[in-house]
Amino acid sequence: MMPLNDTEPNRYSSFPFMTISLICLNILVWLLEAVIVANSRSRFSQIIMLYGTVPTLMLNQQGGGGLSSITHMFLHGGLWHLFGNMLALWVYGRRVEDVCGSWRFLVFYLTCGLFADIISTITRAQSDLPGIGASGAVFGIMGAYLILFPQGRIRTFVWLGVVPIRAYWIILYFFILEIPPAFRILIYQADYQVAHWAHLGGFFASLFVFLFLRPEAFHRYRNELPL
Amino acid sequence: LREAITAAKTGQRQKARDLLLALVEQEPRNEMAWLWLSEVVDDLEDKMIALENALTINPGRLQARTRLEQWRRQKIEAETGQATPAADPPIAPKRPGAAETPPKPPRAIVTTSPTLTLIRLTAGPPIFFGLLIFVHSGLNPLHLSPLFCLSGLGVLLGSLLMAGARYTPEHVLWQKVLGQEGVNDVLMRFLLLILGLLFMAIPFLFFLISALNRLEAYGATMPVR
Repeated sequence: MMPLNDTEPNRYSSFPFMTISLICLNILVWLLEAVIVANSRSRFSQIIMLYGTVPTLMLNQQGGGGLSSITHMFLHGGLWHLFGNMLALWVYGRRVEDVCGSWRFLVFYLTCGLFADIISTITRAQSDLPGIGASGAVFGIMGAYLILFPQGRIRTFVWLGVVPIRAYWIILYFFILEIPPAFRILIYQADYQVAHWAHLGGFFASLFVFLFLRPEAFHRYRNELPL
Repeated sequence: LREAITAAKTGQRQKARDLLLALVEQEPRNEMAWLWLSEVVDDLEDKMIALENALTINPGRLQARTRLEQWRRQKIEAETGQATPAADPPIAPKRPGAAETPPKPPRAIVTTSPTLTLIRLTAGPPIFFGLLIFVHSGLNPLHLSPLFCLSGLGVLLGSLLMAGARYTPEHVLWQKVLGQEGVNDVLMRFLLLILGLLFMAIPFLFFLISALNRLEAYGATMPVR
């Protein structure tokens, strides 16, 4: 199941400037990573240690601290990692940006990523492995989309066709997928390559969206009008 | 706006509609544009949306609120079919004992006070900065440096100024600080916005310098493989 795009038009703005900018920036950083990897693998792992989030470093107040918590959102481990995150950012980000406004959307996106990183760090406090990727922030955007547009229709690629599916089905599906591995990490200290708790953390951080909505959109939400 | 109003008054509704739609796209907080738009659009739903937007900007406009209530009632009447008797109304046989469901009363409009808007829009950046310095202190609030705490206050003040200048200039706080003339002065509001931006930017810059220093110190001790 692969969500492709949202069929509803924007209401408040015509161009999702910040969503597109974030996607471009992520792609640009990934290209830079690819160049560094091609030149020197050791240099690349050094960069990941410096600009990714390493829980033991963060908790001992070493490394970039808060700065690494921001930069880790722009680093990706591979093309599919990048593609998955950027596709989701495009699908859900456009309308969330529309109801927030570009700059508030950026702060909301970073807040979700930061919150996700904190939850992820707490749940793997003893780990030396760096965490990278925009997925925590993207899960925040997905959660916000679920809160604001639960009835939104998402064109989704399922098997060999594209069908519109209600947003709540898709987002809850991705949310529920995260729960079993997240608890396995917590209870059995299971080792995963994916930061499931960062995803859940980002999802819960989506509640912050109410602090970033435009006044008009907030008014409409309170009056149960379509956003 | 003037051109749109003239068009509306001379019966050129389409032209007025186009002009006003372009205007609200550019200036979503133009109350007069929304009010006039509510007059020139044809669909009742669109009229209501335009008027609701005008009321969001200025909740004190009683006439608009009365009109919106009227339109809401009209819509409900149209939906339940009470006000417009059909030529052949289908009459369902009433079952004995079946309770008659009264028509739903129009829902009251929930308005948002400027204070709530101000608090809501002020809170975001300080929370972001708070999380940032919380991470920077190793998730231990006791390790927070007093300078960072002070910076947090700067972000709070900057955010308050920006939210006030941009979204709630009608708030009593600004009227007290700037006076009625100051509130209506575009230049004054712009200056307030810039001041807010400065108050916000300086703590973030301070944080960035501190983080880069720490990163550099760590980078120097990193083992080279």
